[in-house]
Amino acid sequence: MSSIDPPLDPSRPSDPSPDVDFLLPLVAAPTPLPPSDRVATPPPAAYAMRFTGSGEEYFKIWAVNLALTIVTIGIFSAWAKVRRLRYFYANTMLAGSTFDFHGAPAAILRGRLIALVVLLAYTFAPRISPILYGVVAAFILLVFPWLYWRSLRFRLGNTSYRGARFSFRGKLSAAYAILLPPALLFLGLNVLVVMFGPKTGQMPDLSFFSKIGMVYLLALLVTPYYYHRMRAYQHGNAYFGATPFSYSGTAGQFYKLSGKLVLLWFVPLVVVLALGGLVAATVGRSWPKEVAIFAILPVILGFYFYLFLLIPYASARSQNIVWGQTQLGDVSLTSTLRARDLTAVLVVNFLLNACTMGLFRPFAAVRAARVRQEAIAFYGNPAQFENVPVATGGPTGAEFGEMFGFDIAL
Amino acid sequence: MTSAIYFDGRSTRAHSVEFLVEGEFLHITGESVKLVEVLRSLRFTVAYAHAPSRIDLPGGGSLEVGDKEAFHALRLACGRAPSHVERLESSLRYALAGLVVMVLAGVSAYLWGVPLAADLIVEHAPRSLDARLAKGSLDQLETLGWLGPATPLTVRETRISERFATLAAPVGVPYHLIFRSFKGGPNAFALPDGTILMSRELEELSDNDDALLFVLGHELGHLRYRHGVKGLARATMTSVIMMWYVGDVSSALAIATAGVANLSYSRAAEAEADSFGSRLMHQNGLSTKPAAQLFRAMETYVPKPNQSLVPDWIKKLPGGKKDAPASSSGDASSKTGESIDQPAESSGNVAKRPRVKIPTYLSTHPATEDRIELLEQDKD
Repeated sequence: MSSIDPPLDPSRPSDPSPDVDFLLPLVAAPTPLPPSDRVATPPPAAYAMRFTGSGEEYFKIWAVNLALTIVTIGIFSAWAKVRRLRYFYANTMLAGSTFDFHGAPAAILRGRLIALVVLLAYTFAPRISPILYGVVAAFILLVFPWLYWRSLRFRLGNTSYRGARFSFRGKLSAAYAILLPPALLFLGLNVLVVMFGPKTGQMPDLSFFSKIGMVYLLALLVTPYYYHRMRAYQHGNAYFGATPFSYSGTAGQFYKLSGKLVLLWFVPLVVVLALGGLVAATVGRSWPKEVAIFAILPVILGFYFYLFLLIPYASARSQNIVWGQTQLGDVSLTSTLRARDLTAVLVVNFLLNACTMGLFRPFAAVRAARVRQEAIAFYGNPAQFENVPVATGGPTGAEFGEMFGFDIAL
Repeated sequence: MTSAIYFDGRSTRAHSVEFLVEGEFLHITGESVKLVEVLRSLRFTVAYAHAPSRIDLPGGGSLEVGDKEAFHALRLACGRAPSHVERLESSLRYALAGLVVMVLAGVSAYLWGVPLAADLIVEHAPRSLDARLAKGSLDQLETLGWLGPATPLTVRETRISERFATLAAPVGVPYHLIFRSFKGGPNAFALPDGTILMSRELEELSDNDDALLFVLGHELGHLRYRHGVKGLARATMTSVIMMWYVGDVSSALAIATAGVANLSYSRAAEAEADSFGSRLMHQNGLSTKPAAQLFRAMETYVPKPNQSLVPDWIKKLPGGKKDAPASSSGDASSKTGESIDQPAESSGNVAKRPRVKIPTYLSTHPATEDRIELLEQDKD
């Protein structure tokens, strides 16, 4: 086998032919090309990520772990989580090698217990006293960035590939800088509602709604920016062994995506309302009520379903932005997830989940992981991740617990 | 000899190697690799069907083995059997047993777990919590324009109040009766703080005081068993359970399934209040038959024009929830009390088209025929 596999043609990146050579394991250690050669013609070898899990296999793992979680009143859930992650990591294949997760279930259990206590405190504090509620809310606000930072370190520090650990080396202060402003904005909104909102039993007046509406609009306007900053923080501070990841995405890309989403929501709404009004004002006038109902209902349901479809669209596009702007050393990553492919998978997942009272969930998880991961490919000199020192220096992750399911999907 | 890929743990370079067990040792040989490891020191990952399995070596290196049989043989040779959980996970029979456990757990949580926990919560929650649940509900109804003015009691209302007072059933909270006109039509509800409201529309529907007294007895039952707090506790628990189970699929799905479960608890609460009411009547030597008449009248109730409380567009939806807010008892978000019936269901174009019958399992109240049957089993 040649050391560098035939490259993927970037012009047809989603060509669904999974049996081609480049997906085969790179068993032979690559003999690095002489430097002169590498400079002359840098061959962009491509490695598509592959997902080898199967629904039937994961169904068994899921059922057994869920039953054990129920029997142990939730304690086993931390072990179940590790077993689930190990299954998905082990079945994520890149250039013939797979990933592994090393997190200690006890650390996860500890994190979950803390999260549970905080959640309970947050739920019941307002019933005891408003001051206590304020204290708990402020406490959550202050520790949230720290938890987020810890979770990232835990997740990446416990992920390995080819015998090398990933690590997250972002600064804690940066986590605060990124998360505190939106958290304060959110808190400010709540304070505003409580202070100027309608008292119990009172109808709020219109000016209140317009003020709140303005503030929420402001919050909506800054969301893409903070989404971008979080992604940049996550992907820009990750390391594989000693090789740093870098992230070159911009907030503008997320604003563009958000703009598209707003248009996709707004334009059909206006069209439907206009057409509906037209029909109602003309032919609809003579319709009996029963007919009118059955004319309106499918339109409302159809529009609701259409809005539901925007979720996978947004998810696919943002995955493409985030991974497309990520680099590992000199190796660039691409994600070519087509919105319609993800939508097809997620819609079928949802329908079958609903029909089977959730029993389709393990199959759904495998289907979603496959379509998402197989859209990701690596371009560039594979030596960047095939032969790099494992040197640490980053946190090992062993001593860190994970509180929330933050995922960066690698 | 089995081929594998070796990573030395110092670089990510893949070494193509072969390994062989000899006695207590594992020999790993490759182009630039020559290792001998003690079998006991090896650690094995879970073996999955389509992924290479991994063996961790004591020095930080690892072997990726594609050959399942060789992996299992080596693991056996090392005396490391698969863990119990791994054995369970690899058998379809145990997976199906796991499903049975899940179904049993779900059914018993629904039948016993949630109701028992709710009873416990009600037992330990202070009565002040009930009052707090009701706080502001009446004002809210007033602001929304659902209640008519608080005009002085009529002669009949005074008589009913007096007779109600003589029924004298301690329900753990001081209660008082008010009569108001109610946009939701014939209805009565008890707020958890002890306020019992009877709508004047209900009053008009029956000229028999005993029928109305049963309705008030039913409301006392809600207060006696603290259905407001209990309903909140149950709704919270079912929502949390369903959010945990299918919340990641869709929160709408979780809310819908939790809602169906809550409705069955709500029906149980209504039946409990009915039997409390009829016991109270019988203890006082009164008949529940007039109440059965009243229920029949409510079945065929047609609201006066302009009396409808439901926005027209909701009424137009087939099967749309045409319910007074007061009858959404058992709903966590509802601060209002417990209603006698869902008369608003019959609002709308009753005269023009057959009304949409809500199936019992989607209803907050037991089927009216069943309730009437209970009331007609009169002992007098």
